[in-house]
Amino acid sequence: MLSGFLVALHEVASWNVALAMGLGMLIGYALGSIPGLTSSIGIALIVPFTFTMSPVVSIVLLVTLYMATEYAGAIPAILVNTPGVPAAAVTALDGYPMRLRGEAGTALTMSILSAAFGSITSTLLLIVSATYMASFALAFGPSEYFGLAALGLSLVSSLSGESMLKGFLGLFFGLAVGVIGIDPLDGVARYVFTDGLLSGVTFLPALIGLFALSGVFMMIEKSGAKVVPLHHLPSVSGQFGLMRPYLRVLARSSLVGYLVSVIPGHGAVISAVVSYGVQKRLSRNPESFGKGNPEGLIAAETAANASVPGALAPMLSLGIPGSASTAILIGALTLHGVQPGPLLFAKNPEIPYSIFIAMLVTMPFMVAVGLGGVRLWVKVTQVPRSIIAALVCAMCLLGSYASQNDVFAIWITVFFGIVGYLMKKIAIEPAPIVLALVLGYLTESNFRRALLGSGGDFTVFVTHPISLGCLVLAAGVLLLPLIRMKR
Amino acid sequence: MTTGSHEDHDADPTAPAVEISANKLDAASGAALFALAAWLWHGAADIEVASTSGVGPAFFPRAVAILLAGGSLLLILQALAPRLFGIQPDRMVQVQRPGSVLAAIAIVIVYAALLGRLTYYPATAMLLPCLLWAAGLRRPFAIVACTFGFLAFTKILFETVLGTPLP
Repeated sequence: MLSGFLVALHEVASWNVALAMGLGMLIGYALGSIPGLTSSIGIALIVPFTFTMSPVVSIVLLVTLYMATEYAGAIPAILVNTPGVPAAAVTALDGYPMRLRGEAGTALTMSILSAAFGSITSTLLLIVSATYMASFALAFGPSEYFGLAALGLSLVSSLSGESMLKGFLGLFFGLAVGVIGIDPLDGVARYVFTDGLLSGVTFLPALIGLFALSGVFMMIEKSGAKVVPLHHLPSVSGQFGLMRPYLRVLARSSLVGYLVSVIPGHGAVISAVVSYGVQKRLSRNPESFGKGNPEGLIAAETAANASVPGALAPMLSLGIPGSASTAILIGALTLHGVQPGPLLFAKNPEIPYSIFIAMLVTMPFMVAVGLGGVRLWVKVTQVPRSIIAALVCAMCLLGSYASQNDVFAIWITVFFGIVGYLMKKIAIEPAPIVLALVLGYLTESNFRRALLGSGGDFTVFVTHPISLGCLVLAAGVLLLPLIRMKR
Repeated sequence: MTTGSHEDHDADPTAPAVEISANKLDAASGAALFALAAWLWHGAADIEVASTSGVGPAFFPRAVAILLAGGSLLLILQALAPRLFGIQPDRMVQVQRPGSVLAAIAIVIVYAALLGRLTYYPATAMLLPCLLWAAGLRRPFAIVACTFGFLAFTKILFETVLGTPLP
């Protein structure tokens, strides 16, 4: 571990990385402050502009942006009751009533300090667990990877949106899209009806379409809504003493946020909801939750921000995305020729350790920018939606082109933008589709490799204890909701 | 716990809107996904089988086709006979400002078609004002400022900072 940190320190100690941290933080704050722009959209939009950067600079920028976006969503949630990112809806439950009581400054200070605590604690947990998980996973063969991928797919599908069936349909659609192109083992072309698809549906343009462009269409639907004006800007201060009575809440919520988000498919929203629920149950004043109880705000905000390192754990150590945002990060690393997974720590130690360092180093600056720049972020929330939607749309198309230097990429983005929008209308979320695009390849290639190694013997998946365990867990995850429904 | 109140905050009650039955939408999307599954299954027959593992390159697409077909049939059935599945009565899916959304979709399609012919700057100079208008911006100065600001920003970003030529 120490050698990994030393390698990463050598890479991180440069102006380029410092600039990337600052840029990622500012872009993240700006995006997170704007309702409708999530961390997935932000990362998908920025990835095409990171091609010319080194892998370390690129990943540091994207991870800092991810962290900043997740926090910044709390600012409009507290001030105008409009969450900048989905998880901030839980923050708004108590944050906005606090503002109505005239405690906006206190709520903002508490939210940024909670975010910092959650993020730093969770990063420390990530450093310990990811390196351990990766060394454990080094012994994995194709059958174990197949089991893991199958478990990832089962978790993702069962956790998406309002209907389990629709979650599955999103997953199957993603798997169907993933089979287009050259197959992973024999090099046979599948479903290639135009030359542009020979290397498959290019990941990044599809992501930009599914997340960002579809989000633009959703934004246009609501672009006529009046921006909530905010005449009295709150003043905030770094009163660390504010948090002293809530140290237990902070510790508990950090742990809950990290543990929940390590499970693939459980992102910031579920972490925040679970943590809020736990805190409400343990609180002496549960009836005051939703009416401006600081415990609720702290529980939600700490867990939501602790979920960022949590989602990175399976991505870095196993190559399995923990959330939609980390699925995009996998795509970004792959484009740089870096494959996340257990070998990452041996082959490219500078990547995971640079991420760890960046997450720890950035946080104090994020607190400073968050506390000092509230007035600016509030102004960002006041920009009309029509302008944001049009500019984001133009950036989507341009970013998609830049990722491939090919106009065909724009067609892929437009196609997936329309598909993503229609799917949102029928309550199929884009996250399972994207995760299936990543896990589909992993599932098929390892399934076939395992069978190739065993001479076509299917028992290979149940004779290896880890793959058997994963498959049993996957079956349990799939069957449990059905059993509950029957009851 | 719901976030409904926050979503409502975003909604504009005065905006034109169309409402479509969720069940009808589900049935239509189920049919579309079933067609995709049929295409996958049919296309698998054209895939050359060259594998020695017993599971060739057509196996996975066929498996996905079966799962997709099964899921989409279930969705259609659920939409046509919701009571069978103990599902609540039909609800309406609202599309606000449908004209603007359709216009935005048309604009991005036209942009993709024009980009190769007109090159980046003229195509974007045409796209962005239309898009801003479709999104609801009605101030000419703001439209011109946003368009030229964006073009200048991308010129600096791509041609000066990133060194990436634009089409």
